[in-house]
Amino acid sequence: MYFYTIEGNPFLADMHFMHKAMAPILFPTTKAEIISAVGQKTVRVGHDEYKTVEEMISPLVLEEYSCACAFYCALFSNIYSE
Amino acid sequence: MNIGNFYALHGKIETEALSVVVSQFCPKSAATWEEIDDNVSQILARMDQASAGFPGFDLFVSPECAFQGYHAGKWAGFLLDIDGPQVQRVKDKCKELGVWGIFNPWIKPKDGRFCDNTGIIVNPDGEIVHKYVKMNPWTPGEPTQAGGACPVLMDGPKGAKIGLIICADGDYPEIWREAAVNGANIIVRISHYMAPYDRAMQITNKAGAYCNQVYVVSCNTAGIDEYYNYFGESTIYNPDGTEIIQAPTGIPYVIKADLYPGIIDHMKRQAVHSNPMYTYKNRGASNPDDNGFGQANMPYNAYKY
Repeated sequence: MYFYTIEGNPFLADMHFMHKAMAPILFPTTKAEIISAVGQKTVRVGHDEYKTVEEMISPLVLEEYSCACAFYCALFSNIYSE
Repeated sequence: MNIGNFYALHGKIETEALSVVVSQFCPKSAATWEEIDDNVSQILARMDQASAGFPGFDLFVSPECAFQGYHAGKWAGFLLDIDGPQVQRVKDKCKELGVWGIFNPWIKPKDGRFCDNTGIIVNPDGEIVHKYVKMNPWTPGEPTQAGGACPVLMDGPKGAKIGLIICADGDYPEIWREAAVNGANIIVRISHYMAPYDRAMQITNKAGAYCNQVYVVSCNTAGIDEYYNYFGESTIYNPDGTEIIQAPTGIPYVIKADLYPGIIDHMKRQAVHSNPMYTYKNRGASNPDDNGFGQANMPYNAYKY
């Protein structure tokens, strides 16, 4: 995620892969529904680093997302709180 | 059809095409009831022309003041009855052609008030299904009573949810936002705009489209009367503020575009960036201290008067 790019030798495609993984998701939706649908998809988040969608979004405080913008705001919020 | 934003727009979009015809022309500045009738006849002729040029169109849009013009000394003596014969003629034409229509009769209210600058939407059954009174009259030159709400026609043709605003309304960003918040995927701005407001009309239309992520349909008077030069330049805009098509300056003309209202609804749900309907109510939502929800209070003194 953008979080990893902060520490030198940035990996640029993290959000690209995350958004690819999220492609089937239609909003409004919930964290639980996203995990159910694509939670096990793998997202490349660094040059040699991978996470599942579930690992990435489980910490999000917001559980319901009225639109994609709400979800990604929650995701970015969590990235920068790590 | 539009530039979009950083992120790909995911999801399957199912939408019908809404065929919109915008007709710009110039009414007489009516000083007799016969001239009012002439103006109504011109509206009907333009609708017939649209049926010839754009067979099967869905929605006809005419400019502000198309019934009465705006005679500087006598306009107040020629206000219409919403149930009167002039309005009935355009209702009948919509029914005859099987189309929706947007018109602007200046109405004498039945409760005795002075005048309402009224936008109406007529359905293909010839019924007025939407009525809007201009919220921001062009003061001091337009002494009509300000309307109190900007509702949206939610069940328009082909999935259209139509917010209708009138001329100087568009100079106030809050009415664009109000229409969008009320659900509009298309905002129609009808006007009787004259020089020197040429550039101002375009700027505000573009801003209204982009800042609210809606199609904008602008229909302006084109021609010259005893007082002013009406520049026309009616335009249809994408939700990113780019122009789909624009009519020429100052001459009668008809433009047409196929719009896809369902795309706007989809963008409101699926767009990551450029989604002002969420972010204006959740300011700074990606800040880690706000857990993805942002600031939901209303801090603008401009709207607390």
